[in-house]
Amino acid sequence: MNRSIARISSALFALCLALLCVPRVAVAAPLWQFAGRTFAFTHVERRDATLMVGVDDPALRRLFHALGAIVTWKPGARYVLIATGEPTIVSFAIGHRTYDIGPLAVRSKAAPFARGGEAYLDFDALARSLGLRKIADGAATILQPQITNLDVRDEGSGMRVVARGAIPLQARLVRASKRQMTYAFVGVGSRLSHLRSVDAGGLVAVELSQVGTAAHPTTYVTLDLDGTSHVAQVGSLDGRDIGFVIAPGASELALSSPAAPAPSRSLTTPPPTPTPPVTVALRPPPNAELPTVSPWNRVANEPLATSPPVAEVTPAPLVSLAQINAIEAQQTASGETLHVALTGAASFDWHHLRAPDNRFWIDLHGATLEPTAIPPSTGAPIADVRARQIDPQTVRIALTIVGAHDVTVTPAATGVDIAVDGALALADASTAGTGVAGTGTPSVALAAAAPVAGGDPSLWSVNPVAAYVPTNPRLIVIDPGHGGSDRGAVRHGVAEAVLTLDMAKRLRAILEARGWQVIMTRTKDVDVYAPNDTAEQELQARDNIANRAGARLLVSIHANAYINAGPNGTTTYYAKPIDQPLARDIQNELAAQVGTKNDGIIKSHLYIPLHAFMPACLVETAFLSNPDDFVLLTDPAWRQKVAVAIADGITDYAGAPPPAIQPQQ
Amino acid sequence: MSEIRRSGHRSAPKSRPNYAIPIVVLLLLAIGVGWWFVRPHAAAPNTLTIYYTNMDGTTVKPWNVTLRPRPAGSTRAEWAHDRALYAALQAVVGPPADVRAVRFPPGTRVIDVALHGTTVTVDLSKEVESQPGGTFGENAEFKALVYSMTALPGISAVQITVEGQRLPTLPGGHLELDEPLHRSDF
Repeated sequence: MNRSIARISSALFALCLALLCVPRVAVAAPLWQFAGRTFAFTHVERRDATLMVGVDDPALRRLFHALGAIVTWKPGARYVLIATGEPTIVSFAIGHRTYDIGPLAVRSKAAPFARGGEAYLDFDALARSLGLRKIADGAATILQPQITNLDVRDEGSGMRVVARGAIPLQARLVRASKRQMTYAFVGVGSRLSHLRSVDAGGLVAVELSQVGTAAHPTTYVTLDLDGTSHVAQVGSLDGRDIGFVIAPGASELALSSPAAPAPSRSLTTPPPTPTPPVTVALRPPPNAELPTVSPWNRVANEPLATSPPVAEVTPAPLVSLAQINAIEAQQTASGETLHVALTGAASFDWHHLRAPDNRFWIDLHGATLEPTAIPPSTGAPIADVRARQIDPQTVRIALTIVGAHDVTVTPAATGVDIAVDGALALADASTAGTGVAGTGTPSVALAAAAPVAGGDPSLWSVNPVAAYVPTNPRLIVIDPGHGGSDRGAVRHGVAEAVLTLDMAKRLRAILEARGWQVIMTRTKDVDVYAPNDTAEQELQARDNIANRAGARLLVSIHANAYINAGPNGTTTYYAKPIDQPLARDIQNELAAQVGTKNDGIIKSHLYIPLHAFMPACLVETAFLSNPDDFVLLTDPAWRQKVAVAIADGITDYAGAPPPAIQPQQ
Repeated sequence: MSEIRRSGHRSAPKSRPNYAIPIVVLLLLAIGVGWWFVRPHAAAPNTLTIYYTNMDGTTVKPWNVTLRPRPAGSTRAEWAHDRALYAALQAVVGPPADVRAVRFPPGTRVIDVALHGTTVTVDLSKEVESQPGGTFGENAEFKALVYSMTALPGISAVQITVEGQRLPTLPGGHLELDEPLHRSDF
């Protein structure tokens, strides 16, 4: 008997010892419920009596998707970064219990760990950071989405109340009186303070109450008013929030579309800073365990600076520039060589980025790119060659190289040879160099090797119109944006491709009547290069038409769009220094004539003007996505106004067309 | 005369106290105080400046994000990578929700970043191609990203890739993305 007791005791002791020694034991996954669906996590572990779920768990992935959350992590990384749908970045550090929900540092019960190529996170902490409340309900635990934030802000002209949730919110007005407006938020709960006194701007207080079951909650938000105020529900900024504007007295506010903010209001009101100074935030404490440190902590009260000034264009003396007449590729026994044929002398600097970039580019300073110097088609190891005039005195030739190969740059009297060795290189360091090619003295001297990034292209210390001389100064090329298989932006069945073609044809008629020759990159609703081509093929084909024709200038016509109806107005984009005067003149005329909001000229890295040798710009006439602009865009009379304004802008820029050269008898 | 000299010699240690120790203490104190004022600000290296583009589509505005101190055992390269990854993610996610900012298409992820000299490669997920059309969003999104990444020390250019591939432009897009973008491109 005693022996049996001793054996049983020994076995129990051994079992306890084993349990103590094994830090983690696979557990039967509990059931969870979200949005009416029950599921179980399969990638689970227990650490310190805490449920840890792997970030690759299929059910967790579906939950992330439903909440609009995105995980950034790969094996070996120290941080698991989660962009929630709110949006807030939640950062977990492998091996550390402290994690961050935006600016808040919080401690989880167990530290995240990586195992088997997967990161495991404390699910309690994860649910909290995603705005989910865990509620035990029989066999399953319900994950109830919460109203995560309710901000009350004094905007001067009135109060603004904005609610945000773990899921997109939908508000329904359930009670309206002079003193109270109550909205029901179905499907979300709330642990925010039940009452918040405001007493400002006609808003007395905000009350919250939750009804319904754990699985089907409804939260009522009641705005207590002073009896003279008016409430307007305003549109969502990103689909996850609901806003109310309370204006005291006889309000001039009109109810705006719930789908989008009122354009005039959103665009004329200065945007709030990341943390507006007058804000009453109703936010639940994220965790009873308060943070002790502030890692990954956002400090949002820095004064906002203005955009840095664009580098000014300062004229410089005219100089004699070298000309790049041809770019030829030749397969050699050791690889492939590119010869850049040069008339005159040019200094150059080149840069070679190794894997994974495998990029090479050479900037020839004091040089112009002749329209005849079309980059050749190449094979291996050079996959692609691109050449463009990046400023009036500099030509950049860029290569895409397949694999890591050595590149040798050799200056010669006739130009520059760029040899790409066919054998894969062993060294993996990026390289760079400088030199002088051609015959004579280069007009631009390089004092030292330029930085790897290729120098600062913003240094436009040259005459912006000095370099380009059109071979056909009477010719203007008009590019109707998109077309064929590329419809551009489409709203209510109206395609940008159709509108741009119509405006381009109107512009062509006006310019021809004024004595210009005009080429359109397309005259029908077709692709310029080929149906279903790449964007690069399509855009380059349009540039090639203008470049090969030696046109005076190129104007690309477009209609703008955005994901919501807020932005509106007319903008002219440019890229190169020589584009700016043209863009400015066209935009000035558009601003004066077409009646849309003047959004000015904007410099951007746009393909069409970048790859055009001549002055070029891209006109975004109006927003298809904005209701007011949409009405204008679909009005033929307004499109005619646009065409006249662009033509006037061209006249402002280029004057009258030069007289035609009569053929000799 | 010699008596006077002897006498003077004997009395000298009594009339001149030993200042060496207080001077050293004061010197150390001064050095300490001086260091306190001129020392590198502890938080400065861990602060990132992130930019978003205003709803006018072109004005960029900064806000600051403070990171946790560099973890023990993390190399400089690893820390630089982590900072760049966080900066890219924050730039793509955008500012707090109540700020009117032009934002990347929903679902756009930062897959990874890689630093090569003064260029950082930001690899974005396919969702970035879901542009609504028009130049407005495309220009504003990438301008904010480029400004955010080039605010990192030593970074002057940003190479964009999508799912690991370099693209000349986004499908149906307008911006040239084939080469690294600089602030001066915008």
